[in-house]
Amino acid sequence: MRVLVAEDERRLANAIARGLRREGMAVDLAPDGSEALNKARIVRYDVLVLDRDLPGVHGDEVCRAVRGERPDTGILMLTAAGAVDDLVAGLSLGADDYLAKPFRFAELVARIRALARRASPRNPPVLHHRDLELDPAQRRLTRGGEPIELARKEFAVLETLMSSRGATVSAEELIERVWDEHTDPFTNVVRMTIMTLRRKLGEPALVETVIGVGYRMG
Amino acid sequence: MRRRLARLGHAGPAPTIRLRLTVLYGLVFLLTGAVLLTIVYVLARHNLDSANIRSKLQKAGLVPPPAAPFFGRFSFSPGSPEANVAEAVRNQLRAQALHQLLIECLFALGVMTMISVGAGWLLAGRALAPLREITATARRVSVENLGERIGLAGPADELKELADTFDGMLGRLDAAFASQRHFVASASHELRTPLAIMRTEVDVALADPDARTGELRGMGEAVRETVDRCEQLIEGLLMLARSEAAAGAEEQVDLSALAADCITDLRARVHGGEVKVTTDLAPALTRGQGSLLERMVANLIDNGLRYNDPGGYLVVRTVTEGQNVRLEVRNGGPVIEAAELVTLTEPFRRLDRTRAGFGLGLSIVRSVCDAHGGALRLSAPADGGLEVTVTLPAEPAGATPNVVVARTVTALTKS
Repeated sequence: MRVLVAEDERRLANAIARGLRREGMAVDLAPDGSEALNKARIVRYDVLVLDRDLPGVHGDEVCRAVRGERPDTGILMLTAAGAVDDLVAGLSLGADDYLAKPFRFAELVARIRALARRASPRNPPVLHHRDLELDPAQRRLTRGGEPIELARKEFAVLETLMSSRGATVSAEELIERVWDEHTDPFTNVVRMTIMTLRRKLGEPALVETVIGVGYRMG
Repeated sequence: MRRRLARLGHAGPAPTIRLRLTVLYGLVFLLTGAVLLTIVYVLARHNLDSANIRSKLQKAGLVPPPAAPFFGRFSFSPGSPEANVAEAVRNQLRAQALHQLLIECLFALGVMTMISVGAGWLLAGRALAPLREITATARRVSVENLGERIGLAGPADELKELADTFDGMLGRLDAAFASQRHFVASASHELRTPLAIMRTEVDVALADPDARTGELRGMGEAVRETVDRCEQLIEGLLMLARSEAAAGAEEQVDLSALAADCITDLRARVHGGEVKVTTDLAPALTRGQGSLLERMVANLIDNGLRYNDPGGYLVVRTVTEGQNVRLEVRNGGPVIEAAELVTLTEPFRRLDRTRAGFGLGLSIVRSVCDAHGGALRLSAPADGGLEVTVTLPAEPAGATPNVVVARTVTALTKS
């Protein structure tokens, strides 16, 4: 899952990013409105965590623009003003959810997951494929009832493959969904991660390679 | 017409002023009409008097002298029975004419009074219409709805003046409420943000059961830094509140000593030698609360250093001029738009939000300045930077120097 955190308060942005990355999300940061807009135009984010009071381009403007150009991106507005009027204003601008500062971090994570799920409504909270069961919120994976430990990126790759329900996912798309903007798109990280993932999942093999196209759950 | 009156009757309170004006118009008309008609009547009666008519006609040479027969061939010699009859007939005719005149005058007066009452009612209504508009606007206006204005069109008369005054008052109220809303919103933003940072830092660190010491230390440092920031903010807000209340003991304060102290202190702490500081400090004695004035001077100099260009300049000048003392702080820096200049002394206004600070500095300066009966002037030179002039009432010379001056002098000699 790829998330953009648009927040001008450097410390807060860093803390949020650190926490979300540990939850297995790929997180990019934007310290002002114009950068948030640029990034949202380049990458298809699952969720945009948007501080309403951004310098440069105001959060409201960013919200309106992203809502217009990226209808699939869930927008979660963060704001220091917790009055009902602000909530109504934020939601009427096209935000999907609204969280007042200070917030509990667990609540932020839960809301981001809910938004990402809403963007692809066919996916249930817990994903199944044959005897594989993946719970993104609990970050738990079992095969035939046996728990399997995965690294964050492996977990995220598997989640992306399972979410696409048998369709082939290209390496570029995996890069976009799982890794953040600091990843060199010409590395072999995807191939390496898939290899480890296959090894950890065991036999019979579940992740198939579609030569020249990408990967899918088989 | 009846419907309109009924509607107006329902629209507001009983139109007593309109009624009073109408009655007044009617009475004035009745009175002047009556006086006028009385005069007409008296004059007519006087002129119809036969002796008068005769004497006038004689003066004009139209009739022969009294001895001659008066009515031409119908003349009678005076004293004769015919003459008496003729006199009686004349008197009778005169009385009838006067009576007729009286009746017609009274009738005309009655009719005209009624017409004037009607016209008075309409005119009073017309004249009072703007008042109704003002009342309706005043009734609609509330705290949420201060954007409403009367905007009365028409000639510049008393009612227009009233409406304009009312509009002006609404404008000032609107601005005051807006600035208060801005203050509350900004204060809540500035207070909630550090809370959010601390909460997130702690939540994220604690969510990881295997967090290493280094991570936890990082969290602790982040929280401490944020707490420091909260302390600064709260101190700033308290200072602002204190300066607005401005209660406390007053003492004699020398602005030049305060300025020298602040420059020595800040130069060492903030920027080192990056900014070229020039001073021209002549004694400038004023009276006020030492701690507030010290904060005012410190904020101005701090601002001058903080919002400066690298390698920029800062000029601090104090001077006594007649009944006033003046503190001037001029610094280089980016060009400030005139519109921004106006908002600079409002709390939580920062020109550049990426820089540290809360935007309370100049608000405190203004507040301290106001509390000491001074004047604050901000101007933006065309080549960039800011020029702030504080004018305060001077303390009469010859007063004994006091603690604040003594303290700053020692501070200077130490540093």
